[in-house]
Amino acid sequence: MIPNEQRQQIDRWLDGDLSESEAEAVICVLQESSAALQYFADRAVLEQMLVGCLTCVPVSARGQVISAAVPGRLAESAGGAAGWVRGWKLRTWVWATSAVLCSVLLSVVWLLPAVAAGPSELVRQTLAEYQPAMDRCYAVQVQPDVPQWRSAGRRRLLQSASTLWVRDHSFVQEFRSQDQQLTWGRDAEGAVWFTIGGRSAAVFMADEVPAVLQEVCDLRTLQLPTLLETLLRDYDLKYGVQEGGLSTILARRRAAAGISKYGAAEIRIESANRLVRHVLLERIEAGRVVALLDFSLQDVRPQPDGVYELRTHLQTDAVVLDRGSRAGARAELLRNFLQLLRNVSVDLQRGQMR
Amino acid sequence: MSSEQEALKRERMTRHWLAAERSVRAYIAGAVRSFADREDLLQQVALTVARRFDEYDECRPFLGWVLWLAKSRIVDFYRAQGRQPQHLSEDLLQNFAEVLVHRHDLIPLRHEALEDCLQQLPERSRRLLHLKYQEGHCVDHIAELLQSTPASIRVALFRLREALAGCIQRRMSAGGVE
Repeated sequence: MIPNEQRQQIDRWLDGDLSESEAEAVICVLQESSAALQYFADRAVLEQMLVGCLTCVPVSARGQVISAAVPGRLAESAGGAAGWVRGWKLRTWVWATSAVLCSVLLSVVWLLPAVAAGPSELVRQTLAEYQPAMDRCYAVQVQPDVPQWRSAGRRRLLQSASTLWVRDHSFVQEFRSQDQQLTWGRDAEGAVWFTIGGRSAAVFMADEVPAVLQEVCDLRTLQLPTLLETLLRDYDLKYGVQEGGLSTILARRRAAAGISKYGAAEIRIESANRLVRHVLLERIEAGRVVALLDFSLQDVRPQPDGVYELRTHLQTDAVVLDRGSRAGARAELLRNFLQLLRNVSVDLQRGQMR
Repeated sequence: MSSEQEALKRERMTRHWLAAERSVRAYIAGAVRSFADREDLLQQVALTVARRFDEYDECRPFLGWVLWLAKSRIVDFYRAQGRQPQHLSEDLLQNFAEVLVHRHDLIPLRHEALEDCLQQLPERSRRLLHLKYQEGHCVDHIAELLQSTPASIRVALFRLREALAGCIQRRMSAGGVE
């Protein structure tokens, strides 16, 4: 057994919380004591398990613990699950990971001479005319944008793209690389599901969606009504470039608006029919921008209801894990899914190198 | 190579990588103190594995091969930074890798035990872990959020991890695994 003080120092090493001289002392201990090295390895593994494991506890079970410490108005407006204010952990996956997604919406409707109105009025009209039952398809890109990630190589490495269909609160999102197809979505009942190549799949009912899945929803999708309401309430809006029948609105968050998961935004609305064509949104974590979310409308076309249901995306021999499956199996598949999402990004990079 | 063979190869690679990833992360976390650098190195290792998978001998443990690649990337990283006292020696990196390989097979069981142990934690402990591992806050910031001191938070995190490690060990022992 190694002394308590050394164990604490090893913990702090892994937390990146040691001075240089303290770090040097830890290295000496590791070189001299195999017990210390074993403890070091165990602790390093435990840390990584904690990163992955905590994400597998359902949101509902962990509740509002953090919201008391980190209030966020966007979170309030998004309801109970999103009240769980959490940052996107790049390290959890790009990660994380990052890993995992919900509903984006950008759209809308009728004719009006929009630009005659101020930007707030245009956003208000767009919100009023939003049609939730309309099926819309978006190209979604998530691009890390923290200072230390700004070298060209890293940006390219981590950029990922996907196709997202949205109808009201339902969505289905598909990631494709050369040999990998990942699909996930939320059906009309609120169940969140995912499948790896149509062969392995898991489904979480609305009351058991893990925090990590909720996080990916927040990261890769956004709900247009929520976004528009938030812009009106918490942002200063002004017009940017007006061209090609599109009104660009630049939104800067007011300092007094409190902590939020989102920073500055840019939204392009078709002036003639107030269809939201494009949204660019900063994702904030711990007070800094960690990613840029880019939603670009590709298609507006009625889709069969089954598009948003898991069964449509399964092969005949697929194995589906649900609430009744062996304890831990579904969580393990979820971890794999999140990791594969990251691998898709790596595949994109490889494709660019070829 | 036909596209089918290529697809099979990539499937094997993905399967191996998923099984090894947690240990690779642990290895990099032990060797590099900066979180941003850890992520960068992990991506580099993943890319290296993808590029060099043809060289992997399937008769040998995949983790050992990946950690060997990771060690090279870490040494390159050290070299780019210039010699610094907090860098692990190559011998120590090698020993660290061997310990991780030795423990690797038990990780799924440990993980399962950890999930059970986490369910038993009181709310305050969960909150602390969430701030640390989900929000990714540093100790100083956690102390601010919880209106405590960094020293208290360090001690609390240490005790919490000790308790979890003990719980995992007990569960594995109860299941006949040492």
